Amino acid sequence: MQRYILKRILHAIMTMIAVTVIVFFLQRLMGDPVALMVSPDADQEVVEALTKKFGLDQSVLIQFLTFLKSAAHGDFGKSFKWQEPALQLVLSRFPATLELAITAMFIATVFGLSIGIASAVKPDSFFDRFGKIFSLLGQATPSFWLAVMMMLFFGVKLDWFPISGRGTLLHLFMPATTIGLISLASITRLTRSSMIDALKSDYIVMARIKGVPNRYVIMIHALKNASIPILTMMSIQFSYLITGTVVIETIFSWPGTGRLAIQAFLARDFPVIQVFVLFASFIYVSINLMVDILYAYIDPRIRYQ
Amino acid sequence: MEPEIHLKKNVRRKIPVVALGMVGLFFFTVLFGPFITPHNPFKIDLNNAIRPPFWEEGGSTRNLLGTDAMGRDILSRLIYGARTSMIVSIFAILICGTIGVLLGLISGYYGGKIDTVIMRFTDLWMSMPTIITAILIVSVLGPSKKTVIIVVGVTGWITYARIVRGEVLSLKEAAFVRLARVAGCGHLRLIFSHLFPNILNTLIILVTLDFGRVIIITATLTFLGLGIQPPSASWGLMLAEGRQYITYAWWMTTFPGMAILLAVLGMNLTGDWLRDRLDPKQKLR
Amino acid sequence: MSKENQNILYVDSLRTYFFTRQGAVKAVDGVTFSIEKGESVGLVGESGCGKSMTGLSILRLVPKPGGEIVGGRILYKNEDLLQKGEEEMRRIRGDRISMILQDPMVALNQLLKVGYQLAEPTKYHRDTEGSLREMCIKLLKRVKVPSPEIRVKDFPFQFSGGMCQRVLIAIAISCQPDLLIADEPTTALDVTIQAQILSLLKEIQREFNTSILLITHDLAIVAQICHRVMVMYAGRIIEKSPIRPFFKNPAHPYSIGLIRSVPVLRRRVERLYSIEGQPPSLLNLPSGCHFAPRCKDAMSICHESYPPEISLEQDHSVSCWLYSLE
Repeated sequence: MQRYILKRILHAIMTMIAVTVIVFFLQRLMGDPVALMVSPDADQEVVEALTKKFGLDQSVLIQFLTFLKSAAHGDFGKSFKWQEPALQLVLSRFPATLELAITAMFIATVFGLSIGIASAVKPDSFFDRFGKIFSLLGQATPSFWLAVMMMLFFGVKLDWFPISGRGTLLHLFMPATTIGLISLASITRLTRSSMIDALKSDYIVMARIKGVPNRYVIMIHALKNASIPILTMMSIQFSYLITGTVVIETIFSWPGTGRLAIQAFLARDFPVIQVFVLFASFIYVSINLMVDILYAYIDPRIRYQ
Repeated sequence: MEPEIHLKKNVRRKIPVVALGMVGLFFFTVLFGPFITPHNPFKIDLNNAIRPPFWEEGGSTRNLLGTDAMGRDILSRLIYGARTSMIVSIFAILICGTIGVLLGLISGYYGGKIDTVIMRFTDLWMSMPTIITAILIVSVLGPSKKTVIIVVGVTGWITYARIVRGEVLSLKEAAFVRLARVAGCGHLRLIFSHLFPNILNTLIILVTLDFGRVIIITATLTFLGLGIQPPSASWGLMLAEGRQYITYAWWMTTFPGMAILLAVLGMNLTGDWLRDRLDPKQKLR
Repeated sequence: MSKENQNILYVDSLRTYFFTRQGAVKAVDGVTFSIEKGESVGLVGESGCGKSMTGLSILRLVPKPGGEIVGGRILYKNEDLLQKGEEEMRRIRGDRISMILQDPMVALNQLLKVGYQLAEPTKYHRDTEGSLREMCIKLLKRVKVPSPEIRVKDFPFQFSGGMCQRVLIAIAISCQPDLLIADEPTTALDVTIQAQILSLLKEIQREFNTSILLITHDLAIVAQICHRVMVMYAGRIIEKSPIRPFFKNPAHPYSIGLIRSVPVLRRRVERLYSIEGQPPSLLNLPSGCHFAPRCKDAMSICHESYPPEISLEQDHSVSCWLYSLE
């Protein structure tokens, strides 16, 4: 088991390194950062001074090493737009995104799993058909449209919830539900099919032969086996979650890292874009690592390889 | 246990008339778009701005679904938007399909170190969520229709590669492949004349189901400003533009979104139906 | 005491059908038999003849979409199981009647410890005071699994096929059931392991006086451990007999064919014997005797009506028109 975990951690670290390299070198392709900072007819001396200041006259490799060195100290440069250290800026917005993401994931998981399991246990019932239609629609709906529609309906027409900003639970409801609903659709669908597959197996018949009460047959025997594909799906969902927060935060003016990223993009604020990409990758890689470790707990066959 | 004597209740699925209808409509507007648009989708007419759909007060049958902030007919823009979606989707799928299938074929066929390298590469690529790669690439190339195609293509090849690789791995051991090899068939011929035709079924299903992802991510990127730029008639753009007027012009955002929903739904349902017909072993999920 | 009272199980005209688009598949089509306490009965037939379904019907675990018990009675200790509610059945399963399945590797849940799965019947049917772990180790010892203290914490994929089957047997006997239904217990195993499993079953029967319903296509293993044998064909039992008389004087043409089909070591033949033809489709059963289309001795009445059960001698009965004229 330890070996497996170590391998996965190593893998995660290597991935992060690769991402860092890609991000760094892509930045170089963006064009001369100095040209963005100064006006077109600035003095040649100023341009040279700035170039030297940012170490842009050095070779690419040295620039990369310098970058790594400052990164190790937490220094990723200063935001062009907001004139704050880029890392701190991104981190300061993170709690808001975390609040949104966790709530959305909670909604999607709790309801997705329950509806999925309930549908699998009673296939072709009215409940199941409703679940299927809901999943189909959910997977076809673009998140930003759902957000706008919810805004229109609950925010404007009914005026139950505020349509922008962060503050109370009321503010949280629409953004979190929008992201949550779309993830919910996929989770429900996959939970249902994984559970149905699991329930067809011989070990389920065996469990019934033993006289195991139905609720344990479903929740222990079937669910444990179904949870592996479900976990895989959930880590993919997490990737969509990151996309989702960017979109939803923009629409609802939620002060999180996603909205920051778009604002930075529109302002060509490269340090912030860079930190955002690295940070988001880091979170995503960490989540994947945790999922991999969870796999090993659930499926002993992985541990004993 | 005895072999399953009972058969599934719906062995023969009905042809999904509704789904195929939606897809057909989609393709129809794409092909015949310019001939059926009631108005020029780009013509600005500020006197006619923000007209509601014809069934509401203030609307007229001239603009069946109303007009946007610049007086452009929404229905016409929707039709043109379908064409844009389709073109972007086709090119994007061509890119990710080609990359994915090639990598999958090579990885599965040669195995060994090549396979490991390609799989590692896939893992790496998967660690970057779509939006992140999108932001990076668009930062470098600047937002445009071409950039969107590249972004969507470059972020979507993983599924193709994985599934094709899986198929190749299982087909490799099949009798006809072994026979061909014994007969002295060269590697390239084996891959393209023998293996590839057999994965075609799976590919068709994949492509159909992938359309949905492509359409949605294109619209999302465009909506955020990372994609197709105005004054193009794109569904995502229409939604972005309409957002400001949401409190009093609901039709500007509702119709483009519904168009996306219906297009994606149609493709997904068709893909599901194809999967039931062409993939009885449910290799794809 | 009447005959019925000595019986652990009395199955009366059991019918289990599968309802499909093409019609009703009559997997079990009027099966009647009894099993006494401590007796081991073999239910023999080809694949698809309905024997596994008979076993599952007794426990009322017929596969759900499509399958249904449509008629008959299943009397366990004089109570009709078909009249019982689901919770009552659940209490009987694993406790009073248990079953072992054909493929032991698949019958065990790969993600749960063997000890956990072993303890389940006891956990749900008994108020245990003592340690479940101790009990599991004892059970594993009884079925001769080596190093039971370690094995209890292991997972099924760490066991061989034969070991898994022993675990299944241990699970089945953990509550000392009255009836053990063994559905092809040795089919998925090597021949050498087969012998071990069979002797284990024999021991268990002797020790606990458990009745065994051994469902199999293999006459040879029936000969080894059963007191009586029943032959099933296309959903019906066509012959019942104690073991010796059956092999000495098989009555039904199908039974005769079955016995002849078993290749005998040390006897050289030109061709291996097999019964001509195929079993009928359970969707479209012939009127009359189900075996008639393949039977060399078929008479016209065989194709017209189904033969009644005719008693030949002590406990030996057959459903065949050949014997009614005598």
